[in-house]
Amino acid sequence: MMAIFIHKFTDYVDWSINSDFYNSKQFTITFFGKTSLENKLKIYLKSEKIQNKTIKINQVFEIDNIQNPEILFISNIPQEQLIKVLEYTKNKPILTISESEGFGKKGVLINFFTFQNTLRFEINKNGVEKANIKTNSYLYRVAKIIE
Amino acid sequence: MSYKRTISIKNKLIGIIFFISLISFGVIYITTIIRKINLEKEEFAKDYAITTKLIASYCIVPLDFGFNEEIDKIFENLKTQPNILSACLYNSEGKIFSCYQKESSAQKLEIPKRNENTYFTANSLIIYEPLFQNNKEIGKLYMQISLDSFNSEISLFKREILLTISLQLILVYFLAYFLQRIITNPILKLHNFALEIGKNHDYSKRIATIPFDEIGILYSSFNSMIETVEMREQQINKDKLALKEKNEEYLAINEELQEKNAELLQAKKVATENEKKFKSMIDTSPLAIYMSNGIEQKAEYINPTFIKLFGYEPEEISDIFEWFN
Repeated sequence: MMAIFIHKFTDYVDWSINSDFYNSKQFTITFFGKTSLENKLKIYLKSEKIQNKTIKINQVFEIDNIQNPEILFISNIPQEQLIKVLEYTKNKPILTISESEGFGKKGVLINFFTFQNTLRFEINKNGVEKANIKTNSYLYRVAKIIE
Repeated sequence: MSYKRTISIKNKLIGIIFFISLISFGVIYITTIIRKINLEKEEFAKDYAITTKLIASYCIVPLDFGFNEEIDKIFENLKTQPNILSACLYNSEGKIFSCYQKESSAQKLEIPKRNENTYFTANSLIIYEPLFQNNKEIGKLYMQISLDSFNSEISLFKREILLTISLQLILVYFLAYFLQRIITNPILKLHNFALEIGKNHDYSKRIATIPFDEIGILYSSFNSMIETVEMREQQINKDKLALKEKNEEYLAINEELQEKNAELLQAKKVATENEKKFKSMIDTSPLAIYMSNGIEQKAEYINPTFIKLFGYEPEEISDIFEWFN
């Protein structure tokens, strides 16, 4: 379900204000830390394209290896490491996603949570506004907003 | 049809004006109502198409992410729209994702088949609005909107128009009643004048002429006609008088002739009797009598004594000279 949602987010987020996005032929989704979601997403997005770009999915464990992906999925990492990761992505056109409680308040742009056995997500509105990406306002209608 | 002949010209004229007005107003009423219904339907459909689009825009993300609760919340807000009877959201496969039905709706919600059109039924407006995300159709929103308020508005409009037309017809009747006099009064004046002339046979009277319109010409013609009639009447009276005099004269002559005739008849009677007496006398006379006439002296009569005495029958004697010779 989370893989489907991540794919759907690409319909509501616009990275085109960043000139590098035009030049790149790849749409990169990077997983930071240990998570099983990477494989699930690979299966789900097999032979798919996002915004006419081929999809590259990789996993990193070091901040220096993150580079500039369009989506950075942050696994359940320690808070000190999270702060460093967020420091790295600050003002960059990277949509950060996580699935850990409290990560949204810390500054991850989209954070998944479960509500009444249903997968939902929260959006850090201030963080989205500061990030160098545009988010479709329709997305806010179904998300829990973190100011 | 004969009753039409007994209706006065005044009532005929009012009736014609009223009938034409009724037809005209009827046509105006029907065309106005049809136009109003079409315009209002168009406007109504447009308004609810916008509403549907707005609701659909709210449904895009919840439908895309499969959040039924969000759709239910959106549909919950439809309660504030009394005209919306039901709504259904289909996913991209055409399967129903969520449905809403107005609580007060007596009708059981029938899950509508997915359709592409917006159309009116007898009591509702049906709208299908596709939901697009990134130029890809992800579903369709069905809306059933009640036409009760629309029909009430149209009924009110119909009543207003009907009332207006009724008032106009009353006004037309009164105007026709008063204004018909312009036409009927001169005609009725002529009618009454003609009746008076017909009753009294007084052809010396003339109807006062009016401005020179058709009725004025009719008045002048009528005056000329009764003038001619008057002249003929006078002539007839003169002729009658002369005829009467002649008749009296002829009666006097006739009387005289009758007297003369009586005298002549009496004379004839006397002459006949004398002739009978004379014939009897010469038939029985012992003298032979020969009666002739003209230059040739042909025998007209020979008495029996003559035949007996001379032995000649009248046809044997051509004339007296031959007989002597």
